[in-house]
Amino acid sequence: MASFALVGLAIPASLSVLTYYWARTYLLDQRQTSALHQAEANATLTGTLLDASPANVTRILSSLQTPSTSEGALLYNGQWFGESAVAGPDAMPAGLIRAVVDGRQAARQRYHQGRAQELAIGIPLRGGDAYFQIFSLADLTSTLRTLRDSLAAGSLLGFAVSLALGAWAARRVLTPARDIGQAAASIAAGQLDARLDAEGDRELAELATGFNAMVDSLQARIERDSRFASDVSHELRSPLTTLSSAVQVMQNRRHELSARSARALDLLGDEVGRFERLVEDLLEISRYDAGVARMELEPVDVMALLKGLLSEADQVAPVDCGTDMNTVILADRRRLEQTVRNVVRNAVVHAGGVSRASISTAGPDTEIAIEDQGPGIAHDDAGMIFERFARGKAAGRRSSGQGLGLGLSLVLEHMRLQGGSVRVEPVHPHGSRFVLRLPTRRP
Amino acid sequence: MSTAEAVGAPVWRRGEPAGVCNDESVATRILLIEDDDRIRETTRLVLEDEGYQVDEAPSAESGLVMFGQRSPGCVIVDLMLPGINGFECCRAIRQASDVPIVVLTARADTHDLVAGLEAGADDYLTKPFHAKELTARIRALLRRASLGSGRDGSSLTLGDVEVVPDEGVVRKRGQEVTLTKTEFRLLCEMAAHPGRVFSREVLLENVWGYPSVGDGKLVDTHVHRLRAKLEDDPANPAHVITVRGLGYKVLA
Repeated sequence: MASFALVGLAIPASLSVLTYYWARTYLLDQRQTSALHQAEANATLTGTLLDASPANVTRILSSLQTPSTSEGALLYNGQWFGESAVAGPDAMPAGLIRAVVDGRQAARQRYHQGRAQELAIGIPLRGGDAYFQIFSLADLTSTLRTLRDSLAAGSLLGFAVSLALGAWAARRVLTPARDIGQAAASIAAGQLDARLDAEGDRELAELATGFNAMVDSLQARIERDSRFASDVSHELRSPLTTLSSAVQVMQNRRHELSARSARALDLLGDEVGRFERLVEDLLEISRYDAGVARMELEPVDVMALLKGLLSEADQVAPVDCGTDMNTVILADRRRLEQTVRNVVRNAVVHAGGVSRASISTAGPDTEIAIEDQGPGIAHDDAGMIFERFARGKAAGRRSSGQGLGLGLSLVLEHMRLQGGSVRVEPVHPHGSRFVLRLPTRRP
Repeated sequence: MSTAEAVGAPVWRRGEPAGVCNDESVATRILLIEDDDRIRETTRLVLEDEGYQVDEAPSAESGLVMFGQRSPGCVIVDLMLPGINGFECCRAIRQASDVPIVVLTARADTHDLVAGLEAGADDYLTKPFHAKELTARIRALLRRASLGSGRDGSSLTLGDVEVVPDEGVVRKRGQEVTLTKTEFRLLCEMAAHPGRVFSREVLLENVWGYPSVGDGKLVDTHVHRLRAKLEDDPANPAHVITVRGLGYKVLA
């Protein structure tokens, strides 16, 4: 835009300047030429009349035809005669007089007399005489000034118009470009419903329409993909229910089975249980992927929640809450339960159980810490255990090929949704402490 | 007995106990309305192992017919039935009787579930469910049903509502109000201590028999149903009050 503005100023400005100087030169030349002709004519006439009747100098002078804007002056026999009182050697530059009188040649000069510009032409006559004519250039000067002012105004106007035109054109082009940039950025950030306004200029409208169509198909594809995991999991519910019930029926008749069959049944039951949890977790996590997870806050007594879940998992670890009297905060109860349950189960399955737990709701953040004294988590694995289907060295060794599944990934997503976080710290001499943090919102 | 007016209308008169047995040793009939054949069959096996007698129906229509014919002590309905869907079925049964109803649902946070609970279900299970969970819930429900209010004492008065635990009766301005056993139990629990605030956890434990970790949805929808039946203006309750952040209470 700046360069457009510069060009918008430069062109009219230079044109104006050129026009002005050209006009000025031309007009001046014109005036000087006609003035010279007039002066020459008057000089010749004066010379002739003086030869005829040398005594009537003043009459001769006043009989000359001079326009009202000029006056004649005559140097005759060393004496100055003028059409008026002011037309004399004082009204003309000395240099001009010298050039004409002494140098015996016609000369002209433009000069300032007070505030006005004047042109004086001197023509030598016979002997030491000379005829001068002084022309006032006031009208020419005022014409040129008017011309100069209008050219200046014109170029300023031209500049203003081109500035406005440039701004308008720029906005027409840049605004859609900026809109596209913004739409693309928000789509990349996950807001799949950003679209462009397909109005206005035909070509831009085509671009906008094409862009919108592209985003539509992208969005459909992304939604289809994220629904797939969810759809698969839904489909698995019914067979899993049947499996689970069938296993139960057989468990009821375990005493009828041989030891081998009983063992096979136990394995079957365990795996069906694991399968169920996996399907549940898959469904849960696909809600995050599809972007439809919404936090539902309600008052939760985190102390009671933690104690309840520990006893549900048959853990007798003490819960320390310091001097906190009020352990009720606003949280997403379902997700917080699942989170704590997963962390507790993790400790039970991989680390021999929960050794200690603590809660702190004082301060802007609530922290729930669950400790174990298991093998601990290798430093390299610390960040990775929250990834989906992570397989850490510790996990592999402990549970014969069982990965960590989605349990801890869900913990991460659940905490994040509530504006919190989860971290794991080592415990001495061995073990891990999982710390869940979420903002303390009081009901 | 009135005849069925349309398909799905239970052939059954209100007020007659639906096969509730005071003696737990006599097999209770359970009506299982589930369209998935395999789930229905395995669930029946599990329930029969627990000593119940099971009647099966593959659809809401056949289920409603069977309900009228067999008078079960408990009904299990899958909310995701084809045709007349699950919660319509639930509502139809509830309108005819106060038999305990358990609904099966895909997820715990769908509108269907809340609709099913609002329509009159006493409890719910999400699929996939464990047979043991199902039998535990049914046991708790039937115990509630057979014990009535489980409380002695004379009548309690809450404004224009009179609660008579022994008789299992509730009257509003002299008119008897029909409550399900669960609704009645919930009301009695709170009415025994007017003004005291009961948290959802406590109510879940005392009325439904759940451990301290549970889903407040059951309590919320049952309170909602109580208000619909007892309050002049359910939106501005005068009897069953919500105490924000803490739970519910009743006013004397």
